[in-house]
Amino acid sequence: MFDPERFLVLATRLARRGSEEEDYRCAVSRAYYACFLTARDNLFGNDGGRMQANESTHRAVIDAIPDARISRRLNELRELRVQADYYTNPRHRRTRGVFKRHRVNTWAGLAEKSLALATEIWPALTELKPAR
Amino acid sequence: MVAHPTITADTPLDGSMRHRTLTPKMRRLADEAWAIVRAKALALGFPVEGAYLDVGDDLLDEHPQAIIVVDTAGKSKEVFAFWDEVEDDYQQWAESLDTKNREMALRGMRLFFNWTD
Repeated sequence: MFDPERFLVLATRLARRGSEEEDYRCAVSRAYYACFLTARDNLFGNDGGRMQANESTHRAVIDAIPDARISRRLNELRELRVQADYYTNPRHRRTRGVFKRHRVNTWAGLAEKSLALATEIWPALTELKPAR
Repeated sequence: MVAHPTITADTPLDGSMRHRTLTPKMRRLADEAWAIVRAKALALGFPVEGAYLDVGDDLLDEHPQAIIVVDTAGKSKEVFAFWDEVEDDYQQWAESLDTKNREMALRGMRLFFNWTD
């Protein structure tokens, strides 16, 4: 079975040794998925097997985390991941907003912010108990 | 941590951003929420430098959400701890509001704290 922690290791490697925007964007995305998959599998079983078929996976996982503080941070990480994976125009209102909010000017900076969020919540995510 | 807050009890929330989400009612609630953050920062000597109103999206990217962005001079660990303390106060405040304002405070608005490392 694939261990999602390997995505966090990859994210760290990309953030620290990367040199191109795509490296840092992937670092953001992998940091989120390491956290998301760990939370999902702990809450809903491997590959989310106990989730309702019609529910939004990301919302269900974030909502099911009992500690609001961890849930909030995963949601912040999710927002960065959406930015990294879907928005290509640096002048887009949303992109400018995220960079300003985090007070960084580069994707390398945003990758570091993502790692800070991910490493902060990681221990709690690995301890999550089944949701239902 | 060196405790040198750069705000005062009168430092306002920068609400210069224009967006349809930022209605007068939302702005009033945001000012109240900022007062909670400001009071906590001053009480604990936490290095908050200021705050402004921004607009982001909710969990499913379905609805715009007002964001009170708090600029700090703290490191991530310190900021996360402070953020959690403020959230407890924020929740208490939100629970004290009437139904409509509570919904706005809990669903239509959120806090965000940045950090330096």
